[in-house]
Amino acid sequence: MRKTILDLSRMILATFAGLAGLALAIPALLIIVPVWLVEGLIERVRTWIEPEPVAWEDLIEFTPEIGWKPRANMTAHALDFNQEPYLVTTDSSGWRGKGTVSDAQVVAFGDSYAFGCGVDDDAFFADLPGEVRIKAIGSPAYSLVHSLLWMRRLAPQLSGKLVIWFVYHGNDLADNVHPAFNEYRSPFARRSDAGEWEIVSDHVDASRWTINEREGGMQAFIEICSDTPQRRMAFEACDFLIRQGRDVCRDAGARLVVMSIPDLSPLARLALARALGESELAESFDEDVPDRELAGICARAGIPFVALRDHLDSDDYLVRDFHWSPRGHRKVANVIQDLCRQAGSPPEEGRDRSRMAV
Amino acid sequence: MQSFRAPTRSALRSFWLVLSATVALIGAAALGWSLGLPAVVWDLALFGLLAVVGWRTPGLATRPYRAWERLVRKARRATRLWLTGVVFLIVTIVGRLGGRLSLAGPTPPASAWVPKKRLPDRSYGADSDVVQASGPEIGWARRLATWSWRSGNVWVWSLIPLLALLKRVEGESRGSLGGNVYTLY
Repeated sequence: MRKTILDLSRMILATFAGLAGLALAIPALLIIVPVWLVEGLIERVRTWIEPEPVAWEDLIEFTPEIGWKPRANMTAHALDFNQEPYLVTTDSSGWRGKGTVSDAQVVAFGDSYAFGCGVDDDAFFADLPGEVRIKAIGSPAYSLVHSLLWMRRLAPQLSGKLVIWFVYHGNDLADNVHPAFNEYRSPFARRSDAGEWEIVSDHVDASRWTINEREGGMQAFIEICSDTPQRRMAFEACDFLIRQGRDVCRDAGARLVVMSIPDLSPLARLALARALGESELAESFDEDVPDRELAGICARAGIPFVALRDHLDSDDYLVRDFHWSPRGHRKVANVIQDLCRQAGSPPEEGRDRSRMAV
Repeated sequence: MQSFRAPTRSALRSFWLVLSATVALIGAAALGWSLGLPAVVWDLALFGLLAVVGWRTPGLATRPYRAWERLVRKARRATRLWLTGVVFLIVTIVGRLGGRLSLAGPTPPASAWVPKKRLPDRSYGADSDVVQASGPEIGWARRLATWSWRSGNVWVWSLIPLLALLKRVEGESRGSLGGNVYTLY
């Protein structure tokens, strides 16, 4: 009995001590509650003024053989890497921009750079005012294989036009040989048992790809820029795809120019520095490999090659995203305009067309 | 790790609007008191102009926004430290005043292990030898109430508001950029 009373009195005493201690939290509340109130107000106003963004899966729709393309007749706000919304408008075929392929003098094929990820419609390179009408055929996460398949489909409309083929160093070269982009099935290039390269798309349907062996990170880029089997495979595939593109354009009566896109964004620089710090391949890493290899491939295929590294710098990229800033879009549009003017004149005898000076 | 997030345009505009409105309201109250209605009208007109300028050029708000973020981080840190201190203080006081919390370690070679008494089968998962109700329909509050009453530790309820506040103060940690960031595009 005595023990029970002692236990009970201890419990009451301890409980009162706990409640008294609770009062000590009041100064902390006086600091944090006003901060919460202001934060809540800012957040409320932000959600009120910010356009409703659409998710990645709502920006695209399934397309047989190719896997996906941007949704047609869409006006929506997509989100960049920094969660910044940007306005995207697509035409009746799903391609961004005002013009059509048939009206355009230049048709640019590519990935998210051709799609203009990260900038509003009014800053998109294909819609900037200029002498030359440009139509961009591109979607986020496309590889060269997607571009080639669209080139084939649109070949009847390419006659007499200049075709620009964007090759992004960051992931295009690695993704060319992968059968999926995350959970989305994707056509890809493969070397057959006979040693010949081919494009495989019979696995592409709307169902989810469950084996994600795609690396898609900085490590994959480092492997491609170092002396590795991945590098040899990536550029063999690239050689095959560019030759295929050349043949499609030649048969269609179009002129093909390959334009490589380096990743000079501050974000990528930071990520690359960190990845190199952790990589065993850091010593053999050479960032000029993609441009050198692509220039060689294009020279052998007789295709002009433009390295955008010669024209862009880090200020031409968004601060918190991998894509071009409005300034970068203006520069790329100018490069294309210059290229078009140059392509309009007959090629000079004996001129090295493997690396065009624009 | 270096932060790789930047304030979005909407966040900057929202911050600027709230900042302008706050300054304008304080100004209106002060001016209205001392100079009368015309001064309030001028104050509100100035706020409108500031709001339009900030809306059109959200980059103007970047530095004040960064300063606000630093202030918030410091306030959070101070609050977290204070609350953690209060939690430890309560535990210490209760331990000294007579809770069943054993703060003193065993004298070697004695062991700190405490045998768990046999419990009914339905209490198999319990983490103490106090018989508790179990099952998914039993919420944490009821389980804690049962345990704290039966074990003589009702004082633990005084920690609940503090722990809830701590959880709220922790907030979301800002992202950081690792070397394996995906270049998905």
